[in-house]
Amino acid sequence: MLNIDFIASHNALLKVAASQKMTFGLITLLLVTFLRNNSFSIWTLLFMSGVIIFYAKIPMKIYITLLFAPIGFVLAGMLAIVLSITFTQPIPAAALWQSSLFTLQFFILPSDILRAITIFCTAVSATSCLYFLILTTPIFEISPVLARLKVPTIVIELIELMYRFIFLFLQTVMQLYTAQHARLGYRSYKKSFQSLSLLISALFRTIFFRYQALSDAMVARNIEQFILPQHFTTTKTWDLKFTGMALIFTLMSFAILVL
Amino acid sequence: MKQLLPKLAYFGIVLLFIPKQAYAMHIMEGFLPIGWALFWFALCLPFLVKGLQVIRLVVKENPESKLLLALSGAFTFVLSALKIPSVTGSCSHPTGVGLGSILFGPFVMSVLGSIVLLFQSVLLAHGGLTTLGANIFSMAIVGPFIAVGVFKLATKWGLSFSVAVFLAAMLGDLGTYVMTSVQLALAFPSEAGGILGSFQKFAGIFALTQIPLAISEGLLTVMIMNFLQKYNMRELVQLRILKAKES
Repeated sequence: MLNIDFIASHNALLKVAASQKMTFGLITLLLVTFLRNNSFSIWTLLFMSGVIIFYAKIPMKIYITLLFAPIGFVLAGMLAIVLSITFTQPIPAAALWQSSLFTLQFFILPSDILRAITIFCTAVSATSCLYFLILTTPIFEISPVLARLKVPTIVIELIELMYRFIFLFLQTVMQLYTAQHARLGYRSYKKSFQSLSLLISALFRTIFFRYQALSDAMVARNIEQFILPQHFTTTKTWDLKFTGMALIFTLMSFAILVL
Repeated sequence: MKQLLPKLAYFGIVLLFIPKQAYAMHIMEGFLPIGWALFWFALCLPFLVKGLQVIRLVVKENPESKLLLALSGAFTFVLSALKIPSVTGSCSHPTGVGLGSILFGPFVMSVLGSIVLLFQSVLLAHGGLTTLGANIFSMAIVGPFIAVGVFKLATKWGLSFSVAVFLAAMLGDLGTYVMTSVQLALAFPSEAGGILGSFQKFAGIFALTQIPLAISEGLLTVMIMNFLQKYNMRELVQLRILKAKES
């Protein structure tokens, strides 16, 4: 279920500092969203995919599957942008295609198609930037960067604690689900509703059990904060090869945008 | 040309019922223009600041509650990762917002929901970082506030507990989707009908899957609350004490 998290901790870019990857990933992400330029979007998509597959050595099959996952939503959104509906107004002469159903009039305008293409390119390209960031950087490396950016300590603490508990609960859910499944708990529609609600209420109970145990442990050890101390994480410097790659990207982007 | 309409309709229906439809609740990365993305971030800020203040206060009085908050956040995340049995044959996930905000309160839920959304985009690639503000506003602010408001109103009007929970969870889920449609319509107004026309289109496309889903989530939340009352009364009482402190 969380194979993104597994890949993030097992890839060839782990030796690069998280702050450097985050800077590069976020700047490209913002540029793609801000410029909304088709050729720049396609160039970024190709470059990022190249970096993810060949530099970070993430299996191509996994990356392609991940990239296609949100496409259904883009297409549904594009359909709504391309198709215009009107009840009474006359259809513009520029309409490429038109049809009517009872009193409803459907038509497609060329400008809307161009707009939908731009949105498609931007969205897919931005997704590749997001994937670059999340497939190469594990969460526990992001929180020191957040601390340096002066994000409130309580938020970072909650992020770290939640991250730990998510895996704990997913494990519990898997065990409960397997047990229910083995007893034909999801045999029919009605049964699955009942089983799912039992599962969630059992999970709720686990939460409080854990809460009791953890707060006892916290009081016993006199702990007040839940942030991984600095000396547990290895400090990484900015990588030269990565900087070179970012420079190539910047120069090429500049050339594409100016020409 | 006449054959195009049925083909388009077929294509649309296929798109709507593909199993990954659950992603539709969150606006995906890069879909919103940067201006709108920033606007929604700015709009979320006051709610998050207020939520943080509440959390800081609770934690200061009772440091252990930090753990409970993190645990409830993880609970919400796991809820959103569970598949809900859905009528259309597709699998979708509950937002968990209704249940979470009835149990933990709307302001706390806004902060927890934001972290959940951050994790959803970073661990599962649902939604994105630039669209995080818009998603937070629809799922972690509008949803919880509608759910809690409806729950309080329904209890005040003397409706039964089950009906109140059902309405709160269903309308919270529906409110999230209506807000998402508004956000998309504002960003992409149609040339013929303007923002309203565009809203009708987005809402119409999502309505097909979201209305049965909202009803499912409402029913499921009622069943969960019933089980919680039956087996977890002690914990619920403990939670009420925590909630009384925060307000």
